[in-house]
Amino acid sequence: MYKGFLKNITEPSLEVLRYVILIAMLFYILTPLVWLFITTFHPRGGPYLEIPEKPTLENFLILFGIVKMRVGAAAHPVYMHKWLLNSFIIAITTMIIVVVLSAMAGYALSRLKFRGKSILMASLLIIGFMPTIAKLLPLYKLCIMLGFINNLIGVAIVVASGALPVQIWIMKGFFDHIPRDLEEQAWIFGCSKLSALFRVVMPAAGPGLMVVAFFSFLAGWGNFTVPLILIRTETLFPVSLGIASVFLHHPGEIGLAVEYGPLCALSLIYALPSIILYYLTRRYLMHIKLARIEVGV
Amino acid sequence: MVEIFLEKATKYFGDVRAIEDITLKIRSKELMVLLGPSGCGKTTTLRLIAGLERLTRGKIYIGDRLVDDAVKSFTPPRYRKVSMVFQSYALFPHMNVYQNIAFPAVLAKWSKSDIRKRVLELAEMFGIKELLNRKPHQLSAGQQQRVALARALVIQPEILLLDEPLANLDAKLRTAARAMIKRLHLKFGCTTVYVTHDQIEAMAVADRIAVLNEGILQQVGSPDELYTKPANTFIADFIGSPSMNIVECTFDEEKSILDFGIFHIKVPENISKALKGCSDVIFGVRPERIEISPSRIPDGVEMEVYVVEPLGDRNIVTVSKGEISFKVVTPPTFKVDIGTTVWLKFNINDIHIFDKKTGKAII
Repeated sequence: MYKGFLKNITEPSLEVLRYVILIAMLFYILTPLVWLFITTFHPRGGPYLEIPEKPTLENFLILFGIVKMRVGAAAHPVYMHKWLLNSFIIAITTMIIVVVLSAMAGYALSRLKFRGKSILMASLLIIGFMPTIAKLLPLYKLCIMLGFINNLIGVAIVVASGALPVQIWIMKGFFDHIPRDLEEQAWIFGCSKLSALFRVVMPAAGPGLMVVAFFSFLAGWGNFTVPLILIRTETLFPVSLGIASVFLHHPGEIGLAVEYGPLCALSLIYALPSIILYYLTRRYLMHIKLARIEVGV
Repeated sequence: MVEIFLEKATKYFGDVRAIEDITLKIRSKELMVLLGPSGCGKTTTLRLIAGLERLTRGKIYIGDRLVDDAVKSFTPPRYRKVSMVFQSYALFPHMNVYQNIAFPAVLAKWSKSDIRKRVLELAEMFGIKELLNRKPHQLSAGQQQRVALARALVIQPEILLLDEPLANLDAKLRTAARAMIKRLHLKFGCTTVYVTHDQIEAMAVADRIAVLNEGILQQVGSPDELYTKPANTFIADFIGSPSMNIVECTFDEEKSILDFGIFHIKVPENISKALKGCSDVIFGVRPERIEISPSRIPDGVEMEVYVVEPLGDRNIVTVSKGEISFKVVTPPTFKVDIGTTVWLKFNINDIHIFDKKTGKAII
């Protein structure tokens, strides 16, 4: 035992080292979240980290307009619940557009042979990884023409166009792993090509659709650049733009005009979907069991 | 019920020939095996019957309906009233066993109670009643195979197509499943086309076998016919295990002998007549039809034992002399040592002679 003790001192085992690194990393990642969490439940949340003596849900109530703000406070919390709704509208619309289009395009790219397919695939990937900012000028002009200014659906369409290329690739990958036998078997049993697609291929591609839904929802939910150029009215801001605007409108007045409590509550809610969605789709994300039946073990 | 007729069926994938000029009638209620090495076109033939591929030339009839004439007329798979079991079993991964088996009946718009009754009946018959709520990936290969068969039979098909149905099973299961398929065929009486590369499996289940090689139909016949009267050297070599001994020799018309160089065999007049005009021929004899003795036989061929493989129920003895060697199947009681001298005798009724140029059987 004595020997073991000495050994522990002189040769710190890898186990210990592992924990040290892990704790350092957690500290690095979690500090802002912990800060957020503590301030959210503080009745007089400020720019300084302070553990509340009496935790309260008041900030959430202010956020949703159930409790009136105290006199003399800044005006921005009035819009916060609208920002949440706006973000949700953008995210859901983006998700629907991306899931529907990437499923169709992915299936076509996986199953059909046509001229120029490899060039199309390559350009999809290249365009997909281009930063949106690079396309900003023509995009902006186009959006004016199409009436996308101050239009949440317009924002979703633009965000979806940016997310689509990579998601099409992901969907194609899923379809590639669904054996053709499944479709052919469905045809033989009496399905038309279209009904085989909806009865067999799409359900078998379910995990892929979930993954694409996950990514595209978050793409809409978290997007900042597109609303920044398209949305002018404060009531139509999504959360990303809203939170930023609070700081942009009140430079140098930190602590006075910024209502930290409700803002932290908003931020906390804003962070939730990634956790919820991850929880819902984790089995598809963690070990994406592609729809292949392993035969013969 | 329904017969299938292929008339000069030809299929090319680009420039690659899959099958060429196959004319084959599959009789009603018959179990026809398409047999051949991999890449011989047997699966393509099956897929053509199912409607998963289109002919390049020729015609296919199912019953009296022309389903594919390579030009205009083409019936898509869903109207052909065929059922098929794929080599992969193609179970739908998002459905449980019950839903999988019910799938064809659901598409045929059966009532819920009829479907339930039928699925339970089949599940009982295939011994998969406890598995109805499982997903395909939770099943063993043998269970998956039975689910696939049950699904293929749920709406009494007239034609059943089986693509290597036993290939994914281990050896022991395979023998049992083979027997099950044969019983099923008797019970359901569908016209069945069964694709396999395994000649023993083919012999075991088939009413008739069609042997293909490199896209060409080699011979059609009952297992017995293929075994006793192979049409060419390919069939002779392919059917039977161990396969037929095949040795090149020359026929000497004057002396009426088959000359192997180091020995010769005298042939009777009727064979000699049939061989008139051929000099280069191929001699074939089944290993189980050779007489072997450790002591001298009159007119026997003297050879040396090269190797002995005791298999328990029989021994396979390989004997050789010079460049020529024969495999001989003997009872397990036949004991010889490697290197000893033995005498072989060929029964003249059991020998096969093929034309060396064409490979076709002469007698």
